[in-house]
Amino acid sequence: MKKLIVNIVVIFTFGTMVIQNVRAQGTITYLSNLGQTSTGSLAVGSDSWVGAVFFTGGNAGGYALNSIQLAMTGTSGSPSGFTVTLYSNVGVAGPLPGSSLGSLSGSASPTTAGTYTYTAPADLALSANTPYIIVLGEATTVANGAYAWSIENSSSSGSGGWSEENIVLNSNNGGSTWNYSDQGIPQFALNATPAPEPSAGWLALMGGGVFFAWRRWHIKRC
Amino acid sequence: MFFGLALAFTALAQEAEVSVQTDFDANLKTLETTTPVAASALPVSGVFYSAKHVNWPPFPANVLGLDAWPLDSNVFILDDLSSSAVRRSRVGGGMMDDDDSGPPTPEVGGGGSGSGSGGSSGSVGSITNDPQGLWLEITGMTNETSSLVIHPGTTNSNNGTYDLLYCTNLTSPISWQWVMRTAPGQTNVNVTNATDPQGFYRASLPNDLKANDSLGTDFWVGYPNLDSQGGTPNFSLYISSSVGATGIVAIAGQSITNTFSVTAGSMTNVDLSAMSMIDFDVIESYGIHIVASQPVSVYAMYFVRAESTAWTCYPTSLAGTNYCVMSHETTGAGNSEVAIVATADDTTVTFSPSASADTDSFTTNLQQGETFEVGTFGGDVTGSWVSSDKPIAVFAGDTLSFLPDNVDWANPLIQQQLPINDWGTEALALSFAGRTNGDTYRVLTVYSNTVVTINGVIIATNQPGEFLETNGLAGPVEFQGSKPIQVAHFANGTTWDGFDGDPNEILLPSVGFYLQTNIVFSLNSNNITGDFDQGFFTIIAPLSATNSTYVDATNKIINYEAIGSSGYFGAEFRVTNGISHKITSSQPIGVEVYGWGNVDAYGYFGGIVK
Repeated sequence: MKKLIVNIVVIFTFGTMVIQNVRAQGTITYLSNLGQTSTGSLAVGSDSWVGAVFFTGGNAGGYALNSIQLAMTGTSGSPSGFTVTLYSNVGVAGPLPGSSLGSLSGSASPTTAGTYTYTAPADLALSANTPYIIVLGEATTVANGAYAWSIENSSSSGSGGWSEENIVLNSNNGGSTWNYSDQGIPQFALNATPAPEPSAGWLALMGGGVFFAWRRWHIKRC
Repeated sequence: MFFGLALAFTALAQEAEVSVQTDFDANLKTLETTTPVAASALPVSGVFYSAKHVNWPPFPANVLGLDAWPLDSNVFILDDLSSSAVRRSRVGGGMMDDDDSGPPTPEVGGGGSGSGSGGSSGSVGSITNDPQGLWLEITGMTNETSSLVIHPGTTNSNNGTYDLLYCTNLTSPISWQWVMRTAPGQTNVNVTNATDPQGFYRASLPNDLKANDSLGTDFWVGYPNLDSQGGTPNFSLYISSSVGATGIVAIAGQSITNTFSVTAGSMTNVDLSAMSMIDFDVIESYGIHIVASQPVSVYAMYFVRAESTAWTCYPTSLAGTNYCVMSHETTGAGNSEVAIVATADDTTVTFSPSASADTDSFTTNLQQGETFEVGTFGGDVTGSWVSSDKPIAVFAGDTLSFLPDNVDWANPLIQQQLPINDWGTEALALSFAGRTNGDTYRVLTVYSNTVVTINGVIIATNQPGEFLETNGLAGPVEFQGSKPIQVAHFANGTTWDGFDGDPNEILLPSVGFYLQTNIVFSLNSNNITGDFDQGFFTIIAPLSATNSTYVDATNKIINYEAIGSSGYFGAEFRVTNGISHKITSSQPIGVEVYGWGNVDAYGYFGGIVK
């Protein structure tokens, strides 16, 4: 019995080590141009959805998105209902928002200039080397009120192969159609966690299972 | 069997002995049982023997504009047995009648537009060999002015107007430059600024099928099927003319007829937004027929946000009957495609796919203006053959293609193809302005054991229909083939280098096919006809022209860099305003025109001579 407990502890410890090994890498800011000097802003309204495009890096297991930070420069009028949504890309000739991958939680009214953090829903997985689109929207038209997303002009590269696209997407009809512009690069930061390669995880589990079976067989013989 | 016979013909013709005349006649009778290749499908330059006058030395060019039997890619027997077959097309040179006195000998009295201040130099002369009696006489050169007299003979089908062409030598390939068109009834012509030490003039009817450059008065154009994810396409034809022209653009199968007028030295835009593109696997009358009163250049533009492309259109006179097409493969983007436009009734067209095309062969019969298109999703039609019994216009590329494969973002790619007779052995380029990680090139071969070199290094020995592709090649680049090759210059996708651009394609004509004056268009970002915020020209010029090449008369091209050992130099020019631009030089130059937008691009070559 004592041996069984020891073995369970060993297995538990092994599994914990695998998990800890993943989490030990922690949240990484893969991409950020928040440090760049703002050169203007993009108005965000119900009739002016604004999208920014980024590419994930090459981690074979993909990533888990933790949060997005946005540099906002204030408001005009009386906007409300600010939303941040992450979309997959379905475009081939150019980026085009496809399915919504989830809305991010944070301030619904980023009225004062500053950096706002929006937290991704749990398990928002990102594939490797894949474009995604951050879309900002709100409830009122620009004429009645708009939030302002800061832009800059000097493109900055990310780490781990992450990059931002030097392009802005605009939609004036709630995302039915999109236009491209090069007004600047929206200012944002992406915080994510690299996910383990599936093969490594399965290997760990299978290795643990074999070890557990062997221990059970060994205990019975004892 | 045929090749052996061809060699025999060559030898007999060169010996020109009476004793072999009987053998020649016998062999000729054998040849006569076959159909000669149409004159329009023949190269202008080469070795052309007379079937009628076996004792003549060969012609350096098909100056008679006759159909001929090919002996190999460069040697032909002219079908001049029937005098009625003789066309009207002359090179200024020694007088010659339609007898056995010999072929045109341009070197004798070669129409030298002699240089020298106030003096007259060079000999004068003329040639005629036309049953209708058209001939051109050079009566003198004075004060750098060539004086010519056109003798119309009995030609009366053109209201007494003729085109005057000019070149500085008759070395293959001949670079005929269009000089002018006479007024009705005008027979005395003075050409000023005749400063070359030697020159040759040629008079022809305006519809002569051997005008030999990408300017023309008759075009058949097609818009292959292209992706339009980005919205409603804008189709525009940009038409330029050195002398001014009026004309008609018509699509019979869509009941579309537009007229145009372009002033001398400028450009006009014919909007075809109501047009439908050619569909796959169905015969349609979607050929666009452009008829102009004077020679014009025509460029086709397809604008959809993030999905644009452009190509140089070639006149019917440059349409051929034998093509090996250039395209690009795609993975999960669009269809690699070939579109065909018939320029004449009852044209039989055969498509023979390459191994990579992953599609079937077909043979179809088309009437003038009818179109047919084949496409393959996931395949690559590069290296496929398109042949016909009458001249056709061929357009190939991809509805939407990544470059290189799997590099975002994709873009349509279309270029009008050049018949293999118009391929050469050397192509030159600079990498595209603004791109930092180099470009993609493809080199296509049509002859066995073609040795391909890039910047002097042997890269491959390829067989007919094979191609090689290189990605990320930066700076000046010189492609050479031991036999004719076709080179395509591609821009890579946006994420290749993080640049604000997209894929495009430009087919590169070979050195010797360059045009001296190019009137081209460069688009801006009005979001109607284009969304391009950067426009460039790449100029390829011989050393002697690097000090005398201008954009819009005043902007001198500078900062050239040598391109390998070619003797040519390349330079970039940033276009800052305006759509129509005239690029002039003292020598023929190559001009790549391209523009960048947000995940968008276009590109085309200015113009060619054959």
